[in-house]
Amino acid sequence: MNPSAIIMLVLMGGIVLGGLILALITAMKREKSKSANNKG
Amino acid sequence: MEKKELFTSRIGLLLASLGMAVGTGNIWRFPRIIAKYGGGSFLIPWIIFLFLWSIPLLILEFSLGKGARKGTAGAFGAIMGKKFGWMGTYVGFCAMGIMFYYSVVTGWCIKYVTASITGKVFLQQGREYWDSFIATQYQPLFFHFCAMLIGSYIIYKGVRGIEKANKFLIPSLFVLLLIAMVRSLTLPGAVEGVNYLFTPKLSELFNYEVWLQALTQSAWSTGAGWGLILTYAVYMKQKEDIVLNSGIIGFGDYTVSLIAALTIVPVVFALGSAYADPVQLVQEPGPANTGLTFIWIPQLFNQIAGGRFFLTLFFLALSFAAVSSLISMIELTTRIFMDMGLTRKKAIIMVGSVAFVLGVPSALSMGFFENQDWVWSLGLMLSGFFIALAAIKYGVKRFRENFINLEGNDINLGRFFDVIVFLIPVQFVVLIWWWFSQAGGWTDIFSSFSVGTCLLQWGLAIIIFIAINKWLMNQTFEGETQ
Repeated sequence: MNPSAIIMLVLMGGIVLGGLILALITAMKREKSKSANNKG
Repeated sequence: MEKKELFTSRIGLLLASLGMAVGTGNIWRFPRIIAKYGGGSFLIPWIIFLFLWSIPLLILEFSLGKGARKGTAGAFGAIMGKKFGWMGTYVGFCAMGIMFYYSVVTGWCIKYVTASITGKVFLQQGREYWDSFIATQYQPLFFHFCAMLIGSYIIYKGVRGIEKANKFLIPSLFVLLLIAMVRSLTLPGAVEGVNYLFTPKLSELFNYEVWLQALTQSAWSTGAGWGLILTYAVYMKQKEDIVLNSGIIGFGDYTVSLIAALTIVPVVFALGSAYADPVQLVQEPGPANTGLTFIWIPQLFNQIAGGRFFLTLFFLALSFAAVSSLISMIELTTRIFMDMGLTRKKAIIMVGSVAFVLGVPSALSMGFFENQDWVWSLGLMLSGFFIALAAIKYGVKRFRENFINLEGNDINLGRFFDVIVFLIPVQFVVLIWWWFSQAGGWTDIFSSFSVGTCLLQWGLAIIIFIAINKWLMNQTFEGETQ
């Protein structure tokens, strides 16, 4: 694989997959704290 | 006023929204568009538009629907004033314009389920099978009819059906796609396809078509500017989050798009290089490009043990994903007519029948199909522009405070979002100017891919909607008091 393709693959994959994982983790954390608040 | 059926959980709404976003937009459309428009170079504008176009528009659509509790026409009338309701009607119509040919694509998916079950798809070369299927004409027409019938029936049963179906189907489609990607990447010669996909040629960035198609693909695939998210948001609970959900939809859609491209394009390089130049194969215009996924996916699964079984599952899951996107388009149009006072049943029957009839030319002629994909995917730019104008007319800061940063939101937006909203019309104007000044073909209204054909079809729609706007708004806002 040529180096510029590797850089691009890592960059694009990192942005979209990283963004997705970050958003999902944040959503789960908020959901947890919301349900904890509701129980409290 | 009819009681609205609300989504029961965040996961249900998210999966339904992802059901709209993850489907043929990523698996059928993205690989062929990225292959046609420069591979790696295409990715740069494509990723930029995720942040500057699609996610901001998804946020605006969620807020408009949740705030106005009306379909596209009613929401624009409520937020901008009734005399601007025609903009919302255009947004809804643009999605309808896509629905007419989208149903044809859904029909192709269903056809390939049957062809996978019987194994007929393996008896010929992928290209030959595809060409002979399209040439029959009656088959694409029949499967288009099946798609509209199934979509209309499901929408009649209510949104809970979407929730249940997507909980099972989206994960299965995702897993099957991952299996296919791994097999594709391990084929000898596949690396050349990966190189093609990810090597940027900077000179391509001076080509207006790359930017134009990157924006429209981003909007087409994420659902930004379709009015679909706006319509789904009508059913959202008041305390439901907007910002994070939009981010998940955008990033989720893009992730699946990359996986789909990494599945399809390397296969063409691995299996196609034996008899043709793979670059020519992926860039070839016409039916070969339109059917890229349908031509190459069966050949890929032929390389996998139990390929027939997995191919059937793949097209089954893709068909369900396509149907779930189709039903959201039917819902959008149904909502507009329900806002005008029609009962749900009558609205669905009307929308289903009209959509079938207006989809017939796309089912019968690939040239007509390609023209409609060109006109209405680019028409999404205009839809996005109108949605941003709605927020600007209302006052972006006021819009953010009254409709976005509400109780129950996981993330609140700051002033930077106001700047991004103002950038949407700027992007629209710059791209339109660039395209119109470079492309020519203003008077060539019968050419499939001209400026003229777009201007004619958008213009006709807008003139009609402005002419009937007063009547439409009266119907919409009278319905509210019933």
